[in-house]
Amino acid sequence: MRKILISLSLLFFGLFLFRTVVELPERDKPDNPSQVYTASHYLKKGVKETGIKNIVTAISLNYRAYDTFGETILIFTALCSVLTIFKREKHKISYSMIDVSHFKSSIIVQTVLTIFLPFSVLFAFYLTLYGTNSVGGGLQGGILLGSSMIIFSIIFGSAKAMDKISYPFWVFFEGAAVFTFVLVGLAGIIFGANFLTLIIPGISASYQLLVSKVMLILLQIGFTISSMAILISIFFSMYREETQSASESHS
Amino acid sequence: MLQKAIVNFNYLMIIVLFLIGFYIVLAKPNLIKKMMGLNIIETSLFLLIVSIGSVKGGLPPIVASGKGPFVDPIPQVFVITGIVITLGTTIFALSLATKIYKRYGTLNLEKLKRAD
Repeated sequence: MRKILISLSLLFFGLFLFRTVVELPERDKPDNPSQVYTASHYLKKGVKETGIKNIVTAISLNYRAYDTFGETILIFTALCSVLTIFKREKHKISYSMIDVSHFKSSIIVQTVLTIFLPFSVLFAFYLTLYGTNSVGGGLQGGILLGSSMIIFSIIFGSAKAMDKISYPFWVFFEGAAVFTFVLVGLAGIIFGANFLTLIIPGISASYQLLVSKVMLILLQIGFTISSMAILISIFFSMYREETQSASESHS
Repeated sequence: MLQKAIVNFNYLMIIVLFLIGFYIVLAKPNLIKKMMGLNIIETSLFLLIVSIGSVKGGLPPIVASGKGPFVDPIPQVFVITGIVITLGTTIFALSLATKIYKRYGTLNLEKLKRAD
């Protein structure tokens, strides 16, 4: 009865959505209102103004860097909220169910993973550093690095994966994105421009592009490191918590 | 009106996806399934935003790749931000669900209402 009621009300709601969507401009037309104003400016003058061929990167880290700054604070807040729920590990001794399990992962999976992982890490670095000229970007590279580590710890167990993390620097890695954004933004203020404008006024225009490109690559590297560290920290905090509760119930 | 609906059939499919997600959120009692429904809703919105910016025969907005018409880059930037927001909310919701399961031993909302 309840499900029928929900379906009927959703159908009614869907009719309203249908009525609205039908009024949208025809898709795939180059002269749609969304294509005409801002987008055409970015596509025509983006390379000249920023020196970056990938317009998506140019918008997200140069034209609208404030937006991305908010994004970095957001993922950092997500990490903080997860760490308030699951506490961070204190004694550096932890194990997962995969470590104590009697069923080891098969030799085929392990071999394929050891062959495959270096390429995935290399591709992540490519995505980060070449994101200005081709597809890619900071967040994508960081997510790829983090998920390589997650796959590694799922197959080989958390004990081996924990050895790969350098603990003294881990907190700095997690805050790297916010730190780099604030630092680059403050550099703009110190040299007499606005926060996060990525320019230094008073030098010639040919160096200007180089300076803004270098600053943008710095932002990207910070974003990569931080998204990788945050992803791994969140994964390990959930992974570990599960094993602790399991061991408590067994003992 | 029907003519326009046939031309814009991708928007119609997005509505269907949105309604499926909304139905899961409303009808399913399991908390994890509700989160899955929320993720389906968000995915449908990303599809809507990206498909508004599409151009017929459009290239990806990397200017070096050619001369032809490029797709609108701004929706793609917004969708990247949106994916990060989805990631954050999903992570927080999942960790809360883990705590709820540990405290009450169930994720079923009907049973959670009855348990004190």
